[in-house]
Amino acid sequence: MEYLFDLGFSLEEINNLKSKYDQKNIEKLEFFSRLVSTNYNYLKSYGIKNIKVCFINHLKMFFINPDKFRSIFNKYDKNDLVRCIEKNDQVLEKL
Amino acid sequence: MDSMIKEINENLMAIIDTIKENRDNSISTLDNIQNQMDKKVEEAKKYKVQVDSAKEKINMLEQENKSLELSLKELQDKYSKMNLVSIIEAGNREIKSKINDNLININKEKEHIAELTNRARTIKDLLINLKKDKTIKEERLENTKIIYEYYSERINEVIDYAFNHSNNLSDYKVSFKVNEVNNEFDDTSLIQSNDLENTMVFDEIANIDENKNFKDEMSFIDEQIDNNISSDKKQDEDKYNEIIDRSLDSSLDKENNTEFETEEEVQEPLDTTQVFDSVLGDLSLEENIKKEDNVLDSDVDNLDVDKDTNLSNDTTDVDNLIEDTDKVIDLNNDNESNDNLNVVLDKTSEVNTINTDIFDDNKIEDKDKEPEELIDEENKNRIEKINNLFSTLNDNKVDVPLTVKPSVSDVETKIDNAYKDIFGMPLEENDLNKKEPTLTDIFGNPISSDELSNEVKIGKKIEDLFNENGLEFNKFREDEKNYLKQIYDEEKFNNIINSLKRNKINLDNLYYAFNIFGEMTANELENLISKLLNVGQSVEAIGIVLEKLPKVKKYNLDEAIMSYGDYVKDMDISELIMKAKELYNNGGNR
Repeated sequence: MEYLFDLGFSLEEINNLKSKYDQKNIEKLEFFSRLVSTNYNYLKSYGIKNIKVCFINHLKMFFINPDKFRSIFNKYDKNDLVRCIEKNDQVLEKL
Repeated sequence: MDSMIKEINENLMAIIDTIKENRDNSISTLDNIQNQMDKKVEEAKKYKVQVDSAKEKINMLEQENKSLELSLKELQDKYSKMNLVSIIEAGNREIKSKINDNLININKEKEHIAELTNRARTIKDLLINLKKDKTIKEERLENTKIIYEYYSERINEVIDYAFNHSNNLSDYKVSFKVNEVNNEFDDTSLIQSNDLENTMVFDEIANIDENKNFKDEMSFIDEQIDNNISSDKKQDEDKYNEIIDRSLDSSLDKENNTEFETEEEVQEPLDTTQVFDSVLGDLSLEENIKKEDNVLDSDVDNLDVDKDTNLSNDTTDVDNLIEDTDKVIDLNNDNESNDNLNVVLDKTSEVNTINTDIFDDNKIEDKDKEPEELIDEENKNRIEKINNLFSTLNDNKVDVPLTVKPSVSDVETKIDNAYKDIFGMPLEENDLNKKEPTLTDIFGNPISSDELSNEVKIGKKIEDLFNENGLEFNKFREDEKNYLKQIYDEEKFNNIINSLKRNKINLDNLYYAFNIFGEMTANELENLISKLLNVGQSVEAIGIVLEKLPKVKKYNLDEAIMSYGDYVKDMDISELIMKAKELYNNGGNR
């Protein structure tokens, strides 16, 4: 999961992530590094400040196919979406 | 008379001092050369220590690499069965990075060894030159020692005699010969007159060659002798001429004949005896000799034997001088060297003249009448001439070795042996020119030049193939490029690329999925892509997970798709692939 360091996560955050999810998701996280990175970087390009919290709390979102992932966010107004997500990351689950 | 003798003796001592100084200089020069050689050998030994250290380091790094490769294999064996691909990947990356670091260090050490070897080669060349120089100087020293020994002994004899007989030097020849005949006739070394012997000191230098100069010199000596014969001894003139002629003939015979025939061996001592008979030139002495006939007869055998030995020794000396001269001519076979040799012989002529002057009582008596200043000046000139002679001899290397010179190849062999002792292996020209391989394959094995050129060709082919498809081969990492070169199969590569193109998969995904060229066939790839596309996966999604497709088996993917039933179209590609992997891990492999 070294690529998570490249995405800006600390060891503590990675350990937190590992403790939060079961083996299957962690394995998935390790296995689909490119997929996760692509989605993460897309969301990051939105300028969301609490992106790490979003990632840790809503990991499964980042296993979605990248085209689907983009289409979810493209449906909404970008600034409004960012404001909502920053206010409450749980919004991601409702998208 | 005493003051003149003292002065002449001092001048003669100066000759000995000059030779001694030359000898001491040669010893000092040899010491310097030896010191230089010792220093260079020490330097080479230091290089050896460094080479050993570098070799040890290389061994350690190679051992470490072997160990890392084993760990890598173990890791792959252990985790591949558990489908922990990411662990294997991380391990691979870590271990290969370490192996590459070690390979870089090994190459650095090899370069260091090559540099040290080149330095050792330079030292070897220097040692060869020093050895040559040393050999020449040693030979010169040996000659100087011989010359010093000979001249110091002979000149000291002259000095001692002159000092002890300052008042009756004019009786020198007669008294000597009387003594010789009466008391020491059996001692052949003293049969020759001392004045002739002392003249021979310089004559031997003149005798180094039989060229025109030598003959001129002999004519000059004849003239000197002729001129110096007093008028009251005219009746003995013919005898003297005969004596000189016979002496010279004898000397020339000695030079010309390296081996004496039996008859000549018998005649030579007889001639010499006749010479002294003639020199005596006194009836009373002849009668005296007749009285000694019995002694002579009884000693004739001994005389022959001793004289033969003495002549042989003389001949050997002359032969050596001739041989030396030949060597000089061989070594310096050019006009300049011949000119130099002539200069040396001219100097020798001067010495002979000086010598003749010194031992010519008549001349000394004449000079006695001249002012002392003139004598001083003349003597200084003589010493200067003698000094010049020795400096010329040294400059022209007339004092060539009496022993046979070791050849350069012998010296090189010695140096090679010394090098082998130091470095434990012979230094070959090829070794120096041989370049260490700097490129290695993915496993760190050195790539030979043939392999290298082949690899370059393959790299070019892959580059061309990728260029045709809008890919840049240089965008791959070095280890990835090496991997692709190693597994390159033109048909397979073409098929895989065509399959991706046919399914509209972005070829840029290959920058992340270079492994598919080696881990799966084009058919397998085609099947998986088709199935994924059939269940609604996008080409983008397939492209993103392209590198993971070799981990998925067709039948496991079929099962995973079937397990989702109609919902499969809502499934993400990550879900499908993970399901297929789970099925494989749970024994779903066929």
